[in-house]
Amino acid sequence: MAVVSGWGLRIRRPGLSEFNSATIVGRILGRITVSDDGSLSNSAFASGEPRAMVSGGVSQFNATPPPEVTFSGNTMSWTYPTPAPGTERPTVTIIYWVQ
Amino acid sequence: MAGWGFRSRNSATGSIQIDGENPNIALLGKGTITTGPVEPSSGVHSVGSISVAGEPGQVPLIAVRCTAAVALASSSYDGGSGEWTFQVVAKGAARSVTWYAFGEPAAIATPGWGVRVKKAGTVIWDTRDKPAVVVGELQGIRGATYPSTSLPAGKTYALLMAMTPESKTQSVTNTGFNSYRIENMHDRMGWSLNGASVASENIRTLYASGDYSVPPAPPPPGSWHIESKRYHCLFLDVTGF
Repeated sequence: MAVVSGWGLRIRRPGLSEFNSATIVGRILGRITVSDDGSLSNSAFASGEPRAMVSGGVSQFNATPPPEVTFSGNTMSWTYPTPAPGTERPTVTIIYWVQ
Repeated sequence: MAGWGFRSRNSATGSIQIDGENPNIALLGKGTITTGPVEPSSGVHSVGSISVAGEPGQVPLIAVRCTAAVALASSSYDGGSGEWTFQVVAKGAARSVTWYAFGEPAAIATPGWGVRVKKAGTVIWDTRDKPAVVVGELQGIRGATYPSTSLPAGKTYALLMAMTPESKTQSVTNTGFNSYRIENMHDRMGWSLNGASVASENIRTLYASGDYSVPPAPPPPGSWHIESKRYHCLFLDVTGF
Protein backbone atom coordinates (compact mmCIF):
# COMPACT_ATOMS: atom_id res chain seq x y z
CA MET A 1 0.00 0.00 0.00
CA ALA A 2 1.30 3.41 -0.92
CA VAL A 3 1.96 5.71 2.00
CA VAL A 4 0.28 9.02 1.36
CA SER A 5 1.07 12.15 3.28
CA GLY A 6 -0.82 15.38 3.07
CA TRP A 7 -3.98 13.52 2.26
CA GLY A 8 -7.33 15.16 1.97
CA LEU A 9 -9.67 12.23 1.73
CA ARG A 10 -8.90 8.59 2.43
CA ILE A 11 -11.36 5.76 2.38
CA ARG A 12 -10.26 2.39 3.67
CA ARG A 13 -12.64 -0.54 3.44
CA PRO A 14 -11.87 -4.17 4.19
CA GLY A 15 -10.86 -6.11 1.08
CA LEU A 16 -10.87 -3.09 -1.21
CA SER A 17 -8.01 -0.93 -2.38
CA GLU A 18 -7.70 2.34 -0.53
CA PHE A 19 -9.15 5.46 -2.09
CA ASN A 20 -6.89 8.43 -1.49
CA SER A 21 -5.67 11.61 -3.10
CA ALA A 22 -3.61 9.67 -5.64
CA THR A 23 -6.53 7.57 -6.85
CA ILE A 24 -7.66 8.13 -10.42
CA VAL A 25 -11.41 7.87 -10.84
CA GLY A 26 -13.76 9.07 -13.52
CA ARG A 27 -16.81 11.31 -13.32
CA ILE A 28 -19.42 10.70 -16.01
CA LEU A 29 -20.26 13.80 -18.00
CA GLY A 30 -22.70 12.33 -20.48
CA ARG A 31 -23.63 10.03 -23.33
CA ILE A 32 -24.43 10.81 -26.93
CA THR A 33 -25.87 8.54 -29.59
CA VAL A 34 -24.41 9.18 -33.03
CA SER A 35 -24.55 7.85 -36.55
CA ASP A 36 -22.38 10.39 -38.36
CA ASP A 37 -19.24 12.38 -37.74
CA GLY A 38 -19.56 15.18 -35.22
CA SER A 39 -18.28 16.98 -32.16
CA LEU A 40 -19.42 18.54 -28.91
CA SER A 41 -17.92 20.91 -26.38
CA ASN A 42 -18.08 20.63 -22.61
CA SER A 43 -16.27 22.96 -20.27
CA ALA A 44 -16.01 20.15 -17.68
CA PHE A 45 -13.41 18.43 -19.88
CA ALA A 46 -10.98 20.96 -18.40
CA SER A 47 -11.48 19.56 -14.88
CA GLY A 48 -9.26 16.56 -15.66
CA GLU A 49 -8.32 14.22 -18.48
CA PRO A 50 -11.27 13.56 -20.81
CA ARG A 51 -11.95 10.00 -21.86
CA ALA A 52 -14.64 8.22 -23.89
CA MET A 53 -15.83 4.73 -24.65
CA VAL A 54 -17.63 3.80 -27.84
CA SER A 55 -20.42 1.34 -27.14
CA GLY A 56 -22.32 -0.33 -29.91
CA GLY A 57 -21.50 -1.19 -33.44
CA VAL A 58 -22.78 -4.24 -35.21
CA SER A 59 -21.29 -7.55 -36.18
CA GLN A 60 -22.56 -7.51 -39.75
CA PHE A 61 -19.95 -7.34 -42.46
CA ASN A 62 -21.75 -4.55 -44.30
CA ALA A 63 -21.19 -1.98 -41.55
CA THR A 64 -18.21 0.28 -41.06
CA PRO A 65 -16.27 0.06 -37.80
CA PRO A 66 -17.47 2.44 -35.05
CA PRO A 67 -16.10 5.98 -34.96
CA GLU A 68 -12.82 6.98 -33.39
CA VAL A 69 -12.99 9.61 -30.65
CA THR A 70 -10.42 12.35 -30.07
CA PHE A 71 -10.21 15.34 -27.72
CA SER A 72 -8.82 18.80 -28.27
CA GLY A 73 -9.25 21.29 -25.46
CA ASN A 74 -12.90 21.28 -24.44
CA THR A 75 -14.04 19.58 -27.65
CA MET A 76 -14.70 15.90 -28.24
CA SER A 77 -14.85 14.78 -31.88
CA TRP A 78 -15.82 11.46 -33.40
CA THR A 79 -15.04 10.31 -36.93
CA TYR A 80 -16.15 7.15 -38.71
CA PRO A 81 -13.86 5.37 -41.15
CA THR A 82 -14.68 6.18 -44.76
CA PRO A 83 -17.39 3.71 -45.81
CA ALA A 84 -16.69 1.12 -48.46
CA PRO A 85 -19.23 0.38 -51.22
CA GLY A 86 -22.28 -1.19 -49.68
CA THR A 87 -21.35 -0.50 -46.07
CA GLU A 88 -23.24 1.69 -43.63
CA ARG A 89 -22.26 3.53 -40.48
CA PRO A 90 -23.60 1.89 -37.32
CA THR A 91 -25.38 3.92 -34.67
CA VAL A 92 -23.31 3.91 -31.47
CA THR A 93 -23.34 5.56 -28.08
CA ILE A 94 -20.31 7.45 -26.84
CA ILE A 95 -19.98 7.59 -23.06
CA TYR A 96 -17.66 10.37 -22.02
CA TRP A 97 -16.11 11.25 -18.73
CA VAL A 98 -13.23 13.09 -17.13
CA GLN A 99 -10.67 11.52 -14.81
CA MET B 1 -17.02 30.18 -8.43
CA ALA B 2 -19.46 27.35 -8.85
CA GLY B 3 -21.80 26.41 -6.06
CA TRP B 4 -20.28 23.06 -5.22
CA GLY B 5 -20.25 21.95 -1.62
CA PHE B 6 -17.60 19.26 -1.72
CA ARG B 7 -14.69 18.55 -3.98
CA SER B 8 -11.76 16.19 -3.82
CA ARG B 9 -8.86 16.56 -6.19
CA ASN B 10 -6.12 14.22 -7.28
CA SER B 11 -2.97 15.49 -5.60
CA ALA B 12 -0.76 14.58 -8.57
CA THR B 13 -2.85 15.70 -11.52
CA GLY B 14 -5.21 18.22 -10.00
CA SER B 15 -8.16 16.44 -11.61
CA ILE B 16 -11.40 16.51 -9.68
CA GLN B 17 -12.01 13.10 -8.16
CA ILE B 18 -15.37 13.77 -6.53
CA ASP B 19 -17.74 16.69 -6.62
CA GLY B 20 -21.39 17.45 -6.23
CA GLU B 21 -21.96 17.95 -9.94
CA ASN B 22 -21.08 14.75 -11.81
CA PRO B 23 -21.43 11.19 -10.51
CA ASN B 24 -18.41 8.94 -10.31
CA ILE B 25 -18.17 5.82 -12.42
CA ALA B 26 -19.10 3.08 -9.96
CA LEU B 27 -19.77 -0.63 -9.99
CA LEU B 28 -23.31 -1.61 -10.98
CA GLY B 29 -22.88 -5.39 -11.14
CA LYS B 30 -20.58 -8.23 -12.09
CA GLY B 31 -20.78 -11.76 -13.37
CA THR B 32 -19.05 -14.48 -15.33
CA ILE B 33 -19.98 -16.00 -18.67
CA THR B 34 -18.48 -18.74 -20.77
CA THR B 35 -18.28 -18.26 -24.50
CA GLY B 36 -19.51 -20.97 -26.86
CA PRO B 37 -17.73 -23.24 -29.31
CA VAL B 38 -15.54 -21.95 -32.10
CA GLU B 39 -17.70 -20.30 -34.72
CA PRO B 40 -17.56 -21.86 -38.19
CA SER B 41 -17.56 -18.35 -39.70
CA SER B 42 -13.93 -17.95 -38.69
CA GLY B 43 -12.70 -21.21 -37.22
CA VAL B 44 -10.98 -19.02 -34.64
CA HIS B 45 -13.35 -17.22 -32.32
CA SER B 46 -16.22 -17.93 -29.97
CA VAL B 47 -19.11 -15.73 -28.89
CA GLY B 48 -20.80 -14.97 -25.59
CA SER B 49 -23.35 -12.50 -24.26
CA ILE B 50 -23.30 -10.28 -21.19
CA SER B 51 -26.70 -9.08 -19.99
CA VAL B 52 -27.03 -6.17 -17.57
CA ALA B 53 -30.26 -4.69 -16.21
CA GLY B 54 -30.52 -1.01 -17.02
CA GLU B 55 -32.41 1.85 -18.50
CA PRO B 56 -32.62 2.83 -22.16
CA GLY B 57 -30.19 5.60 -22.94
CA GLN B 58 -28.04 4.67 -19.96
CA VAL B 59 -25.68 2.18 -21.53
CA PRO B 60 -23.17 1.01 -18.91
CA LEU B 61 -19.43 0.72 -19.28
CA ILE B 62 -18.32 -2.91 -19.45
CA ALA B 63 -14.91 -4.05 -18.24
CA VAL B 64 -13.81 -7.66 -18.66
CA ARG B 65 -11.16 -10.10 -17.55
CA CYS B 66 -10.21 -13.16 -19.59
CA THR B 67 -6.97 -15.06 -20.03
CA ALA B 68 -7.67 -15.27 -23.77
CA ALA B 69 -7.99 -12.26 -26.05
CA VAL B 70 -11.49 -10.81 -25.99
CA ALA B 71 -13.28 -7.82 -27.48
CA LEU B 72 -16.74 -6.32 -27.19
CA ALA B 73 -18.43 -6.61 -30.55
CA SER B 74 -21.83 -4.97 -30.19
CA SER B 75 -24.44 -3.81 -27.72
CA SER B 76 -28.21 -3.51 -27.77
CA TYR B 77 -31.08 -2.73 -25.43
CA ASP B 78 -34.19 -4.87 -25.00
CA GLY B 79 -37.05 -2.84 -23.59
CA GLY B 80 -39.01 -5.99 -22.81
CA SER B 81 -36.46 -7.46 -20.46
CA GLY B 82 -35.00 -4.10 -19.46
CA GLU B 83 -31.51 -5.34 -20.20
CA TRP B 84 -28.47 -4.24 -22.08
CA THR B 85 -26.79 -7.07 -23.94
CA PHE B 86 -23.16 -6.99 -25.01
CA GLN B 87 -21.74 -9.49 -27.46
CA VAL B 88 -18.25 -10.67 -26.56
CA VAL B 89 -15.90 -12.33 -29.01
CA ALA B 90 -12.99 -14.41 -27.72
CA LYS B 91 -10.08 -16.16 -29.32
CA GLY B 92 -10.65 -19.89 -28.90
CA ALA B 93 -13.59 -21.85 -27.52
CA ALA B 94 -15.32 -21.90 -24.15
CA ARG B 95 -13.51 -18.92 -22.63
CA SER B 96 -14.45 -17.79 -19.14
CA VAL B 97 -15.05 -14.03 -19.12
CA THR B 98 -15.60 -12.12 -15.89
CA TRP B 99 -17.40 -8.85 -16.48
CA TYR B 100 -17.99 -5.71 -14.45
CA ALA B 101 -20.66 -3.14 -15.35
CA PHE B 102 -20.01 0.45 -14.35
CA GLY B 103 -22.10 3.59 -14.50
CA GLU B 104 -23.85 6.10 -12.32
CA PRO B 105 -24.34 4.42 -8.95
CA ALA B 106 -27.84 3.97 -7.58
CA ALA B 107 -28.35 5.77 -4.29
CA ILE B 108 -28.03 3.44 -1.31
CA ALA B 109 -31.05 4.02 0.91
CA THR B 110 -29.91 2.09 3.96
CA PRO B 111 -27.90 3.80 6.69
CA GLY B 112 -24.27 3.01 7.30
CA TRP B 113 -22.66 5.55 5.05
CA GLY B 114 -19.66 7.58 6.13
CA VAL B 115 -19.80 10.47 3.68
CA ARG B 116 -22.38 11.23 1.04
CA VAL B 117 -22.51 13.99 -1.55
CA LYS B 118 -25.85 15.19 -2.81
CA LYS B 119 -26.87 17.12 -5.88
CA ALA B 120 -30.20 18.90 -5.48
CA GLY B 121 -31.20 16.46 -2.77
CA THR B 122 -30.16 13.32 -4.65
CA VAL B 123 -27.18 11.30 -3.46
CA ILE B 124 -24.59 11.10 -6.24
CA TRP B 125 -21.63 9.90 -4.20
CA ASP B 126 -21.45 7.58 -1.20
CA THR B 127 -18.40 6.08 0.48
CA ARG B 128 -20.00 2.67 -0.01
CA ASP B 129 -19.87 2.96 -3.80
CA LYS B 130 -17.16 0.97 -5.52
CA PRO B 131 -15.48 3.37 -7.96
CA ALA B 132 -13.80 2.37 -11.19
CA VAL B 133 -10.20 3.02 -10.16
CA VAL B 134 -7.91 3.55 -13.15
CA VAL B 135 -4.41 2.19 -12.54
CA GLY B 136 -3.15 2.57 -16.09
CA GLU B 137 -4.09 2.74 -19.73
CA LEU B 138 -2.69 2.14 -23.17
CA GLN B 139 -3.80 4.13 -26.15
CA GLY B 140 -2.47 4.82 -29.58
CA ILE B 141 -2.63 3.85 -33.22
CA ARG B 142 -2.32 0.18 -34.02
CA GLY B 143 0.80 -0.61 -35.96
CA ALA B 144 2.64 -3.76 -36.86
CA THR B 145 2.99 -4.84 -33.24
CA TYR B 146 0.33 -5.27 -30.62
CA PRO B 147 0.72 -3.42 -27.29
CA SER B 148 1.21 -5.14 -23.96
CA THR B 149 2.17 -4.16 -20.42
CA SER B 150 2.47 -5.40 -16.86
CA LEU B 151 0.52 -4.07 -13.90
CA PRO B 152 1.55 -4.10 -10.24
CA ALA B 153 1.13 -7.57 -8.74
CA GLY B 154 -1.24 -8.38 -5.93
CA LYS B 155 -4.40 -6.79 -7.26
CA THR B 156 -7.35 -7.93 -9.34
CA TYR B 157 -7.85 -6.09 -12.59
CA ALA B 158 -10.33 -5.70 -15.41
CA LEU B 159 -9.96 -4.17 -18.86
CA LEU B 160 -12.15 -1.35 -20.11
CA MET B 161 -11.84 -1.32 -23.89
CA ALA B 162 -12.80 2.23 -24.75
CA MET B 163 -11.84 1.98 -28.42
CA THR B 164 -11.14 -1.20 -30.35
CA PRO B 165 -9.42 -1.25 -33.74
CA GLU B 166 -11.44 -3.13 -36.30
CA SER B 167 -10.97 -3.88 -39.97
CA LYS B 168 -13.04 -5.37 -42.76
CA THR B 169 -11.58 -6.45 -46.04
CA GLN B 170 -13.09 -7.68 -49.27
CA SER B 171 -10.41 -9.08 -51.53
CA VAL B 172 -11.27 -9.92 -55.13
CA THR B 173 -8.72 -11.76 -57.26
CA ASN B 174 -8.82 -13.14 -60.76
CA THR B 175 -8.42 -16.89 -60.72
CA GLY B 176 -8.53 -17.56 -64.45
CA PHE B 177 -10.36 -16.70 -67.62
CA ASN B 178 -13.74 -15.26 -66.56
CA SER B 179 -13.40 -16.55 -63.02
CA TYR B 180 -12.65 -14.83 -59.75
CA ARG B 181 -12.48 -15.38 -56.01
CA ILE B 182 -13.94 -13.19 -53.24
CA GLU B 183 -12.53 -13.32 -49.71
CA ASN B 184 -14.18 -11.45 -46.83
CA MET B 185 -12.33 -10.92 -43.57
CA HIS B 186 -13.33 -9.19 -40.35
CA ASP B 187 -10.73 -8.60 -37.63
CA ARG B 188 -10.76 -6.98 -34.21
CA MET B 189 -8.08 -6.16 -31.68
CA GLY B 190 -8.62 -8.19 -28.52
CA TRP B 191 -7.11 -7.89 -25.05
CA SER B 192 -6.18 -10.58 -22.54
CA LEU B 193 -5.29 -10.42 -18.86
CA ASN B 194 -3.24 -13.10 -17.15
CA GLY B 195 -2.79 -12.06 -13.54
CA ALA B 196 -1.05 -8.72 -13.95
CA SER B 197 0.07 -9.22 -17.55
CA VAL B 198 -1.88 -7.43 -20.25
CA ALA B 199 -1.52 -8.35 -23.91
CA SER B 200 -3.36 -7.72 -27.15
CA GLU B 201 -3.67 -9.58 -30.42
CA ASN B 202 -5.86 -9.89 -33.47
CA ILE B 203 -9.11 -11.85 -33.36
CA ARG B 204 -10.48 -12.88 -36.75
CA THR B 205 -14.24 -13.11 -36.50
CA LEU B 206 -15.02 -13.79 -40.13
CA TYR B 207 -13.34 -15.50 -43.00
CA ALA B 208 -15.49 -16.37 -45.99
CA SER B 209 -14.52 -17.08 -49.56
CA GLY B 210 -16.21 -18.08 -52.78
CA ASP B 211 -15.24 -18.82 -56.38
CA TYR B 212 -17.33 -17.45 -59.22
CA SER B 213 -17.45 -17.66 -62.98
CA VAL B 214 -18.68 -15.00 -65.40
CA PRO B 215 -21.31 -15.79 -66.54
CA PRO B 216 -23.53 -16.84 -64.81
CA ALA B 217 -22.22 -14.72 -61.90
CA PRO B 218 -22.16 -10.95 -62.43
CA PRO B 219 -18.85 -9.25 -63.13
CA PRO B 220 -16.53 -9.18 -60.12
CA PRO B 221 -16.99 -6.41 -57.54
CA GLY B 222 -14.07 -4.31 -56.40
CA SER B 223 -11.74 -4.97 -53.52
CA TRP B 224 -11.99 -2.72 -50.49
CA HIS B 225 -10.62 -2.29 -47.00
CA ILE B 226 -11.99 -0.22 -44.13
CA GLU B 227 -10.29 0.11 -40.81
CA SER B 228 -10.27 1.92 -37.50
CA LYS B 229 -6.82 1.92 -35.95
CA ARG B 230 -7.15 3.86 -32.70
CA TYR B 231 -7.01 1.73 -29.55
CA HIS B 232 -7.62 2.73 -25.95
CA CYS B 233 -7.73 0.28 -23.08
CA LEU B 234 -7.99 1.31 -19.43
CA PHE B 235 -6.92 -0.96 -16.59
CA LEU B 236 -9.20 -0.94 -13.56
CA ASP B 237 -8.46 -2.10 -10.04
CA VAL B 238 -11.44 -4.28 -9.09
CA THR B 239 -9.87 -5.87 -6.03
CA GLY B 240 -12.59 -7.06 -3.68
CA PHE B 241 -15.44 -6.22 -6.06
